[in-house]
Amino acid sequence: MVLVAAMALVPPPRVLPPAAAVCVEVTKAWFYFCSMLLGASPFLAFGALAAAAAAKVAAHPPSRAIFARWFPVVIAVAAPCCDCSINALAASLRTLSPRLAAFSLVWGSCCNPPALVATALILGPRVLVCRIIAGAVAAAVTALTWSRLPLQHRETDCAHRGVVESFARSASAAVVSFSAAAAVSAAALALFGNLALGPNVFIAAAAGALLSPCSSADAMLASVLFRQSTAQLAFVVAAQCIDVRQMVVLYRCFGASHAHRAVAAAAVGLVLGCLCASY
Amino acid sequence: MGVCVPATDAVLVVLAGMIAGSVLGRSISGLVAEPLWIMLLVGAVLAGAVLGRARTSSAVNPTFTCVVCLLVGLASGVLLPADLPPPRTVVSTHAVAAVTLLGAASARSSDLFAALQTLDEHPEQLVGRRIAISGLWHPQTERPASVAQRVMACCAADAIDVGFDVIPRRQSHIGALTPVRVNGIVHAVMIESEVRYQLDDATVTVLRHR
Repeated sequence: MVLVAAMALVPPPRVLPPAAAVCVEVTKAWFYFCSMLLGASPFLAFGALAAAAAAKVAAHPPSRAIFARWFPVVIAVAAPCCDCSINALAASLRTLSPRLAAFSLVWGSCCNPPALVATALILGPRVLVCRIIAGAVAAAVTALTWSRLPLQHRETDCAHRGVVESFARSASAAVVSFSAAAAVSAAALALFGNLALGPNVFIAAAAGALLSPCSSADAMLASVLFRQSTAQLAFVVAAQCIDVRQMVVLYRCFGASHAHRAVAAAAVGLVLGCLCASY
Repeated sequence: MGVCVPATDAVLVVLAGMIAGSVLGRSISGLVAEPLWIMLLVGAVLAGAVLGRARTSSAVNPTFTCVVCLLVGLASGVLLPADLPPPRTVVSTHAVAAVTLLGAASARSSDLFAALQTLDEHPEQLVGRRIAISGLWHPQTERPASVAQRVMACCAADAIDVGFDVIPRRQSHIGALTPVRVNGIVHAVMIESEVRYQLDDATVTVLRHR
């Protein structure tokens, strides 16, 4: 009411143009948000299915316990299709050891097969090798720092439930988690998407962290936004290891202390990767 | 007798409705790179999960809240535009291998992507020569006019326009995103520390009206 009253005191020619500009940007951000959510929905559903399947197998005789234990790890590392699926899969990794969970999450986000193929095709073999180095270092350091934290086995979204119930809970949690991150990314795109980004590595990393593109699309965006290999590498690594989406997932599934350590570890990997790329 | 819908169901119903709405509004192909059948399958799976939960919890009929969530999702999807402008309005004049692959997969403007790939790998083969390419027209604004094709890796939020800047022989009043064929001489120019490729002395022919 106060805001409306204050706006009523200002002449319309002074209020309407900025208000219209704000509306345009908000509308653009909403459209980008919707496209991100729709584009991620198949991968969110896939991750939720994988998590529910792992829980279903785990409920069977102990002979399948090993399969149930390693199934989400294999999915996270080798076949996530896109890092979006980790939104739904992350909670099922809580039953594993901290080191295994940490390595699976970080490596699967940064160095999954589609991401590596896209990087090789678009950015070249040198940036590919540096991405692998940065991802491996980030995953290893994250695993090391998480192993020093108190062991916290928490109930997953799929524990002791039917497949449909498990899928629905995992998918719903993943959608909410992804939506929060996508809202930030969409706003950043609408406001800063057309900015001329220089070769600065820090700006490239910040852009990657904010825009948080899918792991299958970050190489293409990096090639368009930056011409230097170090900036491209900083963008793609930050886009998967220090981005808003990853932080929301880690905070939701593992807590603030784990998320903070993952950020620090990713920064170490990023620095080492950029050093390799600069030679 | 209504049953309070858990947040889990509401989220899934809204997303399923948004998928259905974007399919009905025919905007889905401009918003995501996934094929239509995958999106329909995902929508069906999400809806099926909600119905499956409803059966096991003895809530047989959809509740008022569930219907409202579905309508919200449908409305959101239907109102989405089919031609969402890419975040970066600057046309990229560099091919990039996978961009070429992605563009070629759509079987449109393969000559445009082939020309860009040749320029990236062996510019001496095309610079100074006259070529003809097809694409969508972008009228001149504060930047030169351009002919480009949109490439989308995952969703509209990461889409980019890839093509050439165009310096027409005669001023044209062709509308934005009109399919055109441009015949011009390839030149490399330095703009803001970036090598950009443009077609000079170009003739622009409209292929068909949208």
